[in-house]
Amino acid sequence: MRRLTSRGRLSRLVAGFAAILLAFTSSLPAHPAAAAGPALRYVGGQPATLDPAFIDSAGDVEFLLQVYAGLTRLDEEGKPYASLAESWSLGADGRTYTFRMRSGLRFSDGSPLDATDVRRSWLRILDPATHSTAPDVLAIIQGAGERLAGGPEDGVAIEAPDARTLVVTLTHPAAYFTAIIATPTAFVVPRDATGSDDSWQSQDSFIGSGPYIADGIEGTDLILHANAHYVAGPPPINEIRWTTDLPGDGVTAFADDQVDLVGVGSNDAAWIDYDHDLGPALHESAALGVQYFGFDTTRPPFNDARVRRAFALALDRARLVANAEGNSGTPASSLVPPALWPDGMQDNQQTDLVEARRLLDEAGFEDRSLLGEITVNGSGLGVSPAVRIWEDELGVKIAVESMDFRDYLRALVAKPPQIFTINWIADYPSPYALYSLLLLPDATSNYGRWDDAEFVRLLEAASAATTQADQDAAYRAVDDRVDAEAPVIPWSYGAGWWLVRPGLRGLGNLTTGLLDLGRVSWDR
Amino acid sequence: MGPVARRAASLAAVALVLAVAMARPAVAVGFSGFGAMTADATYGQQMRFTVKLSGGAPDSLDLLLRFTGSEATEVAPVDPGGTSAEYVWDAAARPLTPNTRVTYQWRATAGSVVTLSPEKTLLYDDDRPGLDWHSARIGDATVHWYGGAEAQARHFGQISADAAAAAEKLLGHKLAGPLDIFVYDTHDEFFGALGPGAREWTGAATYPDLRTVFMWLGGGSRSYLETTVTHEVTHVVFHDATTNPFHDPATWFNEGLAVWSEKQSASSQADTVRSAAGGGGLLAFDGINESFPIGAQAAGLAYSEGATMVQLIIDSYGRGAIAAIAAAWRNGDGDAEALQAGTGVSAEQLYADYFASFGMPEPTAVQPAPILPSNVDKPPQPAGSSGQPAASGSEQPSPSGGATEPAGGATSSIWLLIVGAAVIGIAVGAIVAARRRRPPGATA
Repeated sequence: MRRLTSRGRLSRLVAGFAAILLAFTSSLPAHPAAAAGPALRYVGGQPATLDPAFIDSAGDVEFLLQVYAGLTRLDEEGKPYASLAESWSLGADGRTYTFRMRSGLRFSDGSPLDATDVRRSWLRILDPATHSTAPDVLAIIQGAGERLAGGPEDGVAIEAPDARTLVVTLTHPAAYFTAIIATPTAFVVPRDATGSDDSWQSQDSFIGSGPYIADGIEGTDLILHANAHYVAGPPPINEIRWTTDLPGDGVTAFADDQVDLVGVGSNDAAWIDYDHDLGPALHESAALGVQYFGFDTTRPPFNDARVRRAFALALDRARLVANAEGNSGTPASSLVPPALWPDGMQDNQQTDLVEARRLLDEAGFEDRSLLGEITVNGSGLGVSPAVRIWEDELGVKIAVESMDFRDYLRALVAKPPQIFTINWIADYPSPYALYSLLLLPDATSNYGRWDDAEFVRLLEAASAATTQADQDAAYRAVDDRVDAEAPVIPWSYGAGWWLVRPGLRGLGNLTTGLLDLGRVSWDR
Repeated sequence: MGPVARRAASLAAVALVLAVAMARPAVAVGFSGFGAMTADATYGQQMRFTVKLSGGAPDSLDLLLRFTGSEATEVAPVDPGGTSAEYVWDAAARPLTPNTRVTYQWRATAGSVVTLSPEKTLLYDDDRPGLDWHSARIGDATVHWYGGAEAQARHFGQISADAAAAAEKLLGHKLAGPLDIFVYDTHDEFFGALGPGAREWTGAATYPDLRTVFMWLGGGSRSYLETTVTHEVTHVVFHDATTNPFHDPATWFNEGLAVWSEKQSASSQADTVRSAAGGGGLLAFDGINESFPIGAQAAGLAYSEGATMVQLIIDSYGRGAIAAIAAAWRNGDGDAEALQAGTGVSAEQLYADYFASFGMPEPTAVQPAPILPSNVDKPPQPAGSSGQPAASGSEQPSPSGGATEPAGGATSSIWLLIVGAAVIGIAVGAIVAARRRRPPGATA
């Protein structure tokens, strides 16, 4: 055996340290930020579930973002970054992703987390027996649609050939896939997550994968504590007090220093904007949501695009929305909020009462009584202005209904009203998130059951476009098609306001769905 | 009729029989109509509706609820199983204001046949224990009281008649119907009627859709309460004069008019505004179009600014301007349009004139303090890993794990390099030191 010289041993030791360091930097988190500052008191509302399979609202998304993690995650600007995944590559077919997981990953209880857990979590979402509320998010995976319809699990193109590798094949190229899997539905749940309800998880014995773990309830506050096993290291704020209910209003609670972060209504934002004490703490969030009217396109009269278009053309949204909603919303001309508009897209909202009446005549409804009494369900937005215009200017008879929201969601699936209303927030920051989930023929949330081959073709082209210019042009074509066929009438883009305690940093633009408290700290 | 025609007639007859036979089972075998209907309510707890189902359950069953002042019909799906059905409205989770009239009707669907029950009405009233209500009709108002408040309640009724007449004259519009005034004795009973979210400085409240005023005897002195009745009744007339489906009129105008109506003047409110101006702060009208500030002092200033603006409009443009503004709102105009319709000058000019009259510049919005970017590191991000090169300008920065590294990530990498160098340096130093300390003769 050759004797190791001191110089050679030194080199090896140095090399060994370097290798360890390199492995450390490429697999485990960057340095854990030191826990600092008081608890963050956030008025988040009561989450309806602790299980990503059963997301019911934007509030659920907000909560689940804090307690679970996925292969990727969205930063404050909505850009995906590598989270549980260390890296990924895209195959030559443009639709096969190979993810390399970081080593040493763990759930919050210290148990190992690897590629098989991602596969298991995704297959659970796609299992029809789970009855997940938002499986469409993963429907882009090859075989997922068939699985959701009762097909075999082994037909779903998700493979975990080893503990650190996950291979996923999509139905078509989709540049936004890494954004899709950054949404909570695609996050990783522990191995006892089974069955068709969320009873496996609890506030008192919580096991998660995100920056925080649920750790009990105090009064109306859910208590979250930093997860020591989080992939990015425990977040700097050790405790979140997630307030589910306030005895009074949020503005008073903030002014009285009872909470640090609270959403406020547009009515209060208007005066706070001029208030020297609270004004500096007031911030407007970027809107990723849209309120819209939808038509049941399967039944007369709204199976006729001319009738739908007539109802759309009758509404001067620029005036109606401004007068009805004040500063709580801006008029919408597309399903896609301006923050996600492709380059070159413009506000093309048209109002033409003459053409609207002509279209109704042409569709065979010159005698408006032949339309019957149209039912409009106003559970999703204030419908009074639109209803009055349709009645007065088009001469149609309208009945307005509303429902408890849970009943309404069930009704939308079982038998949607002739005209329904929805307030929808994009699951991920891409136009595809809205067009696909709301208008593709097989999408669960395509409540109006619109089925348009040309729209599908245009959307697939947009999805597969590889250059920004091509994507922009393709999405503009998609929007033009939606505008011409009018399966929906975009009404307004909702605005949101927050009061933020000075010293909090890392909140981005406070967009719902992007508020990652794991990246928030006190600026001391 | 020739053979062909006769055959056609026969076929038509067969078809008719078949159609009737096919249609009948859905109706006759199961549901055949509604029986007895009941409804009761306990304030703050629940409303309970029941119905008998003759012949059995329909395919689906809804309870249709219409609330006073709402155009929409609330549809509540109900389990149609059995020979009766029940629906309970959880009033703790979904609070309703007392004195809400609820029209209810059942809707059954059996096959293609939709059957509606008769409509009935339930009054959701404040029946909390200890509230032994009495009522008296005085003019257009019905006053309601309990305990020993009869004299005060009747007095409020008299005041309301005068207030309504004055408001009708100013606004050029008649009260659309009778109204109710409920007089509460204690703070808790009063706020219990207003429900969650009521602000603590509230001393009286009006729900114009319900044509209902709630008064709290402890809200102030006798004279304060008397002016408050006038104030609240003016709100109801204003609602009737401006209601439309397109826009809610500016709150500062609505409240300002109600305050001005208390004494047909805003001289004392002008003192308040002058005092606030001296202290350096008036409220922008754009800021109080919808809500008033939470603090009692700022809220008081908002009322005073509204009243003095109404005074300015009357002084400068005549009383007719108030009715013209209300008419414009009734026709669906926005605030700026309505103010211009009534005064002939733009809202901006009106606001500028107002602040100038107090020697003040127009208030300006406060700039928000910037929120600093995150300084929390992401996990190490891949850079230039395998996979296809990023398509130029693609939707995502890179299909190969190439999410762009923000400043925090770069900081992380630099930090790691520094730590790495330090670790290596320490290791080298330790080894060198060990070699120097190694005793003679030691071997590796």
